Amino acid sequence: MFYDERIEKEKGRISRNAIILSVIISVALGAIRLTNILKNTDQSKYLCLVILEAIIILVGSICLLIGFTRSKIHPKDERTIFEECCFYNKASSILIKIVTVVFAFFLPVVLHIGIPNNYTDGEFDRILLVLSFVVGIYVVYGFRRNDIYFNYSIMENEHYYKSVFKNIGKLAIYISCLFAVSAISFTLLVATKELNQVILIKHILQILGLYMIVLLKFSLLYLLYSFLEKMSYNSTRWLSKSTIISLEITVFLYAVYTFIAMLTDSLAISQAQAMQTVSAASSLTFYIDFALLIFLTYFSYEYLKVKRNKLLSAACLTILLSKTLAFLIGQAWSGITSLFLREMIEYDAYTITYFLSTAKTIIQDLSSIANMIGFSLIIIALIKDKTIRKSNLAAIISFAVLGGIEMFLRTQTGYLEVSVYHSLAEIAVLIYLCVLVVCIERRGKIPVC
Amino acid sequence: MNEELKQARLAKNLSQTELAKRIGVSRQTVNMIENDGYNPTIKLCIKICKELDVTLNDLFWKE
Repeated sequence: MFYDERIEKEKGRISRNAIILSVIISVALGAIRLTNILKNTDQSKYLCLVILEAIIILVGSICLLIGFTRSKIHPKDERTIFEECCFYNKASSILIKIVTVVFAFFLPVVLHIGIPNNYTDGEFDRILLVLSFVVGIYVVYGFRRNDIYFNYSIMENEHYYKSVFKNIGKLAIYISCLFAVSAISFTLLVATKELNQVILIKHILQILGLYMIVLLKFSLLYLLYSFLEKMSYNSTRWLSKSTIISLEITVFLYAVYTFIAMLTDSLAISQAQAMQTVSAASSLTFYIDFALLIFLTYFSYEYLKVKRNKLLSAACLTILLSKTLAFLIGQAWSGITSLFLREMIEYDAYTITYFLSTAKTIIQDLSSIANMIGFSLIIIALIKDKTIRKSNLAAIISFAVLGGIEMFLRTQTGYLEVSVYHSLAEIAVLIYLCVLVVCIERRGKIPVC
Repeated sequence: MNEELKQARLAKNLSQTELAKRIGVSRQTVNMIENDGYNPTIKLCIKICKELDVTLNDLFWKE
């Protein structure tokens, strides 16, 4: 039976840190949501909107407390450290199952009670979206840094993709079970005469549609990630095809987003349609940032395996942290704004709105500056690496031209940030990185240091 | 680097992947043990020794 002690140990450490991260984020977002519900809504029934955050905090804290107590009771040696790591592996699995079952049970309830007036703190499952990004990126980074593959137990299988599809089948079965839990919740609502049968059918179809979309999304993501992992595992080259493909996906998504945003600006369509198009394009930014961070994780790991470069490590980490924080604050912003809703109505709406929009602009600018610093450090680190000379000219030219255009545009009034959401200078760096990976890819095998 | 482990593996005509399969770990783990990047537990050390027909002293106990 396949059981790698090193992988179990590292997975355990990553699981412990992922639980800590989940609890901290849930405390922050849960506190904002709870304050909004208590301040801006009249009925206690809306407290169920914060149930997911509460469950993550409760179960996560219990797991961490048990783990901490065990580590203090038992003396630290090879065996106890290994057992602690195995505990955290099981704990993270249990946490995910409990949270998804609670979500499945309360989703019909939330659909039934609806969203209250004066409540703009995001959807019921916002915490799951946030954690899937933040914890997802952390897990990808942690696995790559410790040379662990998500599919390690099936990696050497003759029929690797058959095993991948079997895992997708297991996911489908699990999601069907979650649907069954939602069905039980609906039955209880009907039994208590809270819900009539016409509305019941409408809600059931909504939830069925939601679960099918979730299954499709996660299956595609898992299939793509399994494909990238297999290519990385079999690669003997300096940069694996996985790194190049993740960069291509990022650039493709950037191009799609920019095209949609520019099309929205240029066509004479109604404001409502424009808002809808921009909103649909904005959901792309989740995938753009995720793909970019996967690329940076793979790139820094594979590059640094061959050549030590502290500047490159620092640069990739800067961008990773900056993008993650920007995503978190972006998700929490509507909730933070809602905290001041009552004050805006009762006191001075203009001053508070001005203060909030200035704060948002400052945070966005700081995030852009941090990204720019990170991308600049990547270019400097790679230019200093004299092994790759041909791509340096492309870097300097594209960075200077596009960076210069961006600086000019930012000084103009009416500059639409939505059209260049990820900034021209970032696009310049991506162009450079594309040229770089082509140069490295052509080099082929790992160079002798 | 754990040169003794590498030599013992090559003496048995095993690749890292083949040895990894036999002892139930990943190829990366075998690679890390050979490059002193990971300290295996005594249980794993014994499995490796049994597979390569050598003793613990030969592979892991350095003078």
